[in-house]
Amino acid sequence: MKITKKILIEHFTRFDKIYLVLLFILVISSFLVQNSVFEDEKLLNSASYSHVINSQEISFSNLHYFPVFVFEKFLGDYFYFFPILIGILFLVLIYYFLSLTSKDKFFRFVFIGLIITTPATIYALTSLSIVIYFVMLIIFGFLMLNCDNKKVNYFSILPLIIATYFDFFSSIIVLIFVGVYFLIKRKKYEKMFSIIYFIVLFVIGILQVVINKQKFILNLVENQGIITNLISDLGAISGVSFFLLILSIVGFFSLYKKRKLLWLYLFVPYLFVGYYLNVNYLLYFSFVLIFLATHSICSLANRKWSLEGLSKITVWLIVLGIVFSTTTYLDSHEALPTSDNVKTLTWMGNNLKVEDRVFTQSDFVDIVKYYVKNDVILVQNDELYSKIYDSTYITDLFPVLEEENINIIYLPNKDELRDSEGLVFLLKNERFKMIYSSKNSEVWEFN
Amino acid sequence: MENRNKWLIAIFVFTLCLRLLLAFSVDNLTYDSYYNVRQVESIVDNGLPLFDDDLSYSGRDIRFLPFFDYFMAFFALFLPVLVVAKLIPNILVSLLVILAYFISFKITKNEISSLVSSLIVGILPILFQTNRFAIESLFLPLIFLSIYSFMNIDKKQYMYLYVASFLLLSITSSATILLILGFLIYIVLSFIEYKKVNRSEMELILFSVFFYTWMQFIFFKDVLINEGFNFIWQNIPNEIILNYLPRLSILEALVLVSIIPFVTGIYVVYQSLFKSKYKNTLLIISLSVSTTILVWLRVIEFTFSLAFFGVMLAILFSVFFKQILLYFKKTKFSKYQNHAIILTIIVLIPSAVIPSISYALDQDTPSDIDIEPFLWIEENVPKNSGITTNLKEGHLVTYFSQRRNFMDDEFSLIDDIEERFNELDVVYTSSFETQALKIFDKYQQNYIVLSEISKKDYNITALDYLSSNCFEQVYNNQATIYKIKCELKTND
Repeated sequence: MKITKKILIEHFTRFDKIYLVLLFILVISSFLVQNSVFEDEKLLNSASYSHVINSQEISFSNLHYFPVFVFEKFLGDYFYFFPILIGILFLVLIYYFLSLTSKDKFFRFVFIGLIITTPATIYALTSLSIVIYFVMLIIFGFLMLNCDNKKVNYFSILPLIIATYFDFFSSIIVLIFVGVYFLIKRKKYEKMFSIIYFIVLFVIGILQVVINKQKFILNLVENQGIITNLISDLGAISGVSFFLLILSIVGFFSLYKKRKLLWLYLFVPYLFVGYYLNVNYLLYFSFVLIFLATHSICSLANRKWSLEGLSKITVWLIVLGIVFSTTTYLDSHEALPTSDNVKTLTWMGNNLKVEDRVFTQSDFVDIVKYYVKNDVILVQNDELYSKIYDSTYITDLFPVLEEENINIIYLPNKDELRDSEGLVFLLKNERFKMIYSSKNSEVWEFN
Repeated sequence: MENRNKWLIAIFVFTLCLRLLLAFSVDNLTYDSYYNVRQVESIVDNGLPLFDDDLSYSGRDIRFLPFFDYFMAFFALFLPVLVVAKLIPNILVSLLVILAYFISFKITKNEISSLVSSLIVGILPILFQTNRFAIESLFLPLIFLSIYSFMNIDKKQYMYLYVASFLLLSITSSATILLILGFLIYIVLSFIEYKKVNRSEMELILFSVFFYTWMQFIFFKDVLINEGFNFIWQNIPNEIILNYLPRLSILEALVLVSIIPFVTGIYVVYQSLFKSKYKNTLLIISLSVSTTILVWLRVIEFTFSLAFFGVMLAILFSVFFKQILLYFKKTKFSKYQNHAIILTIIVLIPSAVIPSISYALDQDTPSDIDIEPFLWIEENVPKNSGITTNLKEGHLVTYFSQRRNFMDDEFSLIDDIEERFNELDVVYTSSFETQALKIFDKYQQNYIVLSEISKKDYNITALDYLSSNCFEQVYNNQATIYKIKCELKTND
């Protein structure tokens, strides 16, 4: 029997769950194993630690951290499983949501397949990502809103209200989705219900800004390279592959044929602005890129090609390109903290004294805080950071350290610093003493 | 038809003979050619190019698309490499004459105007780098073959020809992006002009985009990860990247693409965009726009883009010439049409041939005297020595002397390239011995060559810091070679 494109598509849609689970196990597990997550019993990426620290004290303004707070208490030493559980739950929700809202099973298969293989989502699914959490709340809200039970419809506003807690940028996303949803499904809901629902969310979004002093965008990390951070193949820590980007561009320009999706022409630039302002919002942008890429893959697969031979080669090129890009990412990306970092941090947790004042690079501050659980003071100041790291003379460095009472310097990766200049060169001075090291991860004491 | 073939062959033979005559009358190859000569020799000897080169930058990894070198290595099995380096590129560039004819004919359906176009391509001054053994000589015929097959995509055999030529292009040079970008501009222009891009064209464009991206991945995975977005500038030092911008004056550039095709080309572009509706002209215009954009972004070299642009303009000239011929037919002078054609050729030939010959004779090639010191090094200097020369002579060190060089013009994957480039400047211009010795130590260099080119490039007459204790003159002819005898001891 000749295997045609149609047969292949039918096969994948029929056994999609099996393929997606296998793909998830293959990609996500290999990423976790390669980064020694189970061995070191750690979370991945600095942001995860930041969220855990922020969830230590729950108040009205950080109510959205409540699940992290609960699960940290509940899972205890096994808390490092939490991001994986969230990741699985997220994919299940997406699958279920797409099953309810779209008849195109192949679209669902490709969309989830791309989520699993895209570096930005691999990065997010293996760590505590605020964006994943936000998208889950939105999906959850819409699943409830999509229900035929009216009471459930009313309660659907709750997860969406929680979703307005992140920042005003995210609140606007919620409002856009709700607005577009009511416009598309205007026959299903009473007009008054839709208007009140929207207004309630809008008012809460505004109150978050007025009462909670919510920022427009959580400026966690400055975006210093729009393209470099966007494309994983250029060495970005997450991002999307070249192939996905090309596919999404094709998808973007072919959207005009679908009237229901025309609003994306405004939504995509909005998300791009978010990504421009905060590199952590790349994930929002990645989701929409994945959506557009899925749209173009489905169009290419369902299209009747005039050059049939070429269609097979092109589809294979796309598949191989995505696989190649994902394997390159899995192979080359080392998530923080490394095993050596965990060893030194654990040592620090056990041996540093309460009166110690620790200095480390800015992206490690939350990781150190997490491991060093006593009252060790961490010096957090960007200006100070460059003063210390870029010093070339002890006459510049010592007064700064003395003034700030810093007596411990933690270098998570000494190899990344230049040997001949700056802090590494000055560490040769007798007032510095290396008190612990594991490969390139070092702890120095300043007397 | 038979007549046409005779004329076409005559133009091809004329072009080839002129090119070969010039190639063999000029000494040696251009400086940068010796890099490819080494690669070809390596393939002939070991079956593999030098992806891991022990001599360049005193040892480095290099990633490049190898098809050109393999293609040339095939001929090098039967002929000496240096003969191949002069013969085959000139044959390949001469083939442009035939391709230009067919593309012009596709657009105009007029034999005479197409023949005139092919003649212009044959004598285009910018193509007369007859002694340059570089990828462009294969890339240009391949890209025009792709363009021609793309124009004929409605016939199945041309689809295969396109796929084959594009495949070869993708493993020849990353500058294939020129074609991809041109296609995208073509889609945009077609959209603006309300012309439908047909299905098979769209499919071929999609295939090309994905295939090209895939190929770049396979060959440049490491470069992409190491250099990030900067990979498109190939790690070229800032000062050198300025060379990608025109150093030529506008007048010089006009002479190199030939003034008459340039002026008529502008006219045809204007007419195609605003008046007439030739679809194939739109493709040629799109490719010209893509060339301009890539030069502006400094992604491709200016002289290379000028060559591509020159051929495009020559092709567009056929449209203009056809219109002139048609106009002529409508006037009282129609019986003098043949005289007009001859007159055009008489005007064209001197306006292009003289600059072409002058350009070929002025090529950047080392003379035998310039090469002599490097041959001396090969015989008289210990094998593992590092030889400092200016940037241009870097490939002479690795090819003729077979010793480690300080640096050459293959910058990709080299760490701290700006620093190295600046330090090369310092060793030629510094007045301080310790400063120079520190750099020689850092890069493990044992000899420095002070050639006439270095003197000219750095505007010096001698090295200021020379002392008899640390530097011994070991060779003195046209160039001087100094042995570095001292090491700078540092206390860590």
